Amino acid sequence: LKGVVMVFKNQIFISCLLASSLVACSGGDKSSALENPNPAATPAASDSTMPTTTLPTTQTQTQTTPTTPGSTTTLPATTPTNAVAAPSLAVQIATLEASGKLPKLDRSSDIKGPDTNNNGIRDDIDAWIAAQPITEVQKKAAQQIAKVQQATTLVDLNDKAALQTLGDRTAAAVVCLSRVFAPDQQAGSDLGAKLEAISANTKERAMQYIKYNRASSGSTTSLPSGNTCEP
Amino acid sequence: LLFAVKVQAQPVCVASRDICGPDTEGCKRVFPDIPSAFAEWKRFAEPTVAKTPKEACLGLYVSYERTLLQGGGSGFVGGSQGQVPLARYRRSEYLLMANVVTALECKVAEGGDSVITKTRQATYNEADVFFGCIPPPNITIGFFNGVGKTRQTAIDSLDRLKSEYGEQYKNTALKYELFYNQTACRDGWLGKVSCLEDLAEVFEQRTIELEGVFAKRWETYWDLLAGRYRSEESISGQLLGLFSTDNPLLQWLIAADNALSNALAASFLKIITLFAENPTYENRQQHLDRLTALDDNYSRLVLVAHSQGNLFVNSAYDALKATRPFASATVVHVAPASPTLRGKYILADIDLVINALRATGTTSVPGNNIEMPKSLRDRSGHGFEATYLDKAREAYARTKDFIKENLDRLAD
Repeated sequence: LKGVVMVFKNQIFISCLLASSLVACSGGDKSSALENPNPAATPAASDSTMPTTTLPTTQTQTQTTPTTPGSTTTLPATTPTNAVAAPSLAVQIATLEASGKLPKLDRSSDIKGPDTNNNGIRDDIDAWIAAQPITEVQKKAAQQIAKVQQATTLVDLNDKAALQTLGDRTAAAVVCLSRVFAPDQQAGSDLGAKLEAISANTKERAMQYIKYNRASSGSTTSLPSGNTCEP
Repeated sequence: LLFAVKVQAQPVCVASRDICGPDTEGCKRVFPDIPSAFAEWKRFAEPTVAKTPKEACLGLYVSYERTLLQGGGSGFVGGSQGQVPLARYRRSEYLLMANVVTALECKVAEGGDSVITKTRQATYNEADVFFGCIPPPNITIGFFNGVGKTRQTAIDSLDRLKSEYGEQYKNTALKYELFYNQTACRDGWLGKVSCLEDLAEVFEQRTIELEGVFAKRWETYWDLLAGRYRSEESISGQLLGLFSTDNPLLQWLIAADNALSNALAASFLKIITLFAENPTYENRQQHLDRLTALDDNYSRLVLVAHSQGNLFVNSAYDALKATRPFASATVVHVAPASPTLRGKYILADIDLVINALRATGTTSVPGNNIEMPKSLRDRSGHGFEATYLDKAREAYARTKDFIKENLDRLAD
């Protein structure tokens, strides 16, 4: 544990150097980040797993971990000595992706990404949906929302009518997803959020998606009734 | 001046939706004044004009004094028989001051004749339908989203509201509408920069750390933004679950989460300042246009606002009331940081975003009015669904009841 803390403090140190705020990192100034124009330079504060009103941007102790089921991979303390022997975090994650334990996503700088079957959904997301342990109807609903998400990153942001149509399609897809997972609507909501996250999974896609949302500001969208799932 | 319409002994049943004649424009026709309404009444009282009677039918007996108060004004004209006046101000240009409307319920006897079975005071809606050929009563629950919400997640919140209240409340249909906002927090080289962009910059700065593994893993940004990065139902939670308890991933995520929460609160503060300087800062006209259109269609409005949505709802609500003082609209504030309120509010003591605002000396934040336990699945204590509609905690019942109270006020 001590080794982890030490290494982590090193990371904090590096972080603070980048933020050009070494003094703030080593000092005891615990002012809120709201008063600090550079949140990245906020000093280490509470060790609690639950943040307090003044939110620390760095931690100094190991936190309680989530009780997530499934297998675990022991990540050794990455002290300089161990770092030589242990594979890097990036390599470990790549290994997990290759094994199928994590989704293997396209991370190219191309906003559209590969869509070899031209169905309006990126190939990697198509594959991810296909691998989910859900019914065919639920997969179809997932494809419907994935298609809309892909469209949001490609739409002309000056085309107000197209933006409105996308809002309507999003509403239809959300309602459809909720419907096919009923009564466990939360499961549908979770799946929609996952798809949103993996669709905007690179900086380029995320920034484009943010621009789409910004362009939609001020819009109004009615929630449709009935069966809104596409045939 | 008092008019009284006597209904014949054998009244013609006029089903409420059937009184629009072929010359009306859909069901949006309104009568310009009482004489016109009176003429219509007489016209549709003719047996030849009446539509096919239904099993349950309705006639209306109307008495009224005067009408057409232009430009708003207040005070109903008293009913000729001391009954509750029936005025429902729907349009500023058309303020119908009907006083007493008696509903004559009837049934269709053999041979097509109708027989009165019951006499009672008409409901507002029955009278509205008669005078203006308006649609059946409906309430629109409008949702004004909070800070950092994408359009999709805001629609998801709206869908959650629908799952709570359904499509019908008492005798009134419920509709749901999103009033989306994604505010600009500052001016940039190429125009205004949205708050989401500011938050993305904070995330990007942190991706330099931890071997840069998150630099191309922006799915984590969305998980952090939604406060779900430790949930096993998120990609980030899935990733965390594959590593041991002392891994630096979790440390990094917690630190990034805190940085984003701080940035979120800072964005909030900027928006409050922007609205304080200019209440019409953004989106007001678009939201007002939609509210006006809904009012034109006789939809009553329960507006639910979360987080920064409270600033937008105040702006839109005030604009609506300025032009239509009698529009049926109410507001419920969830996690507000707005200086003023238009209805009841709920604000949890664990709401870190609002608490962070207080820490800056912002005095406009209302006091907490509910105490809640913290939850690892809801680190910010600020989420609309995760905090205020979390069925496992107290805020759920309070939030739901506030909205229900408003539905009760507006529903038939």
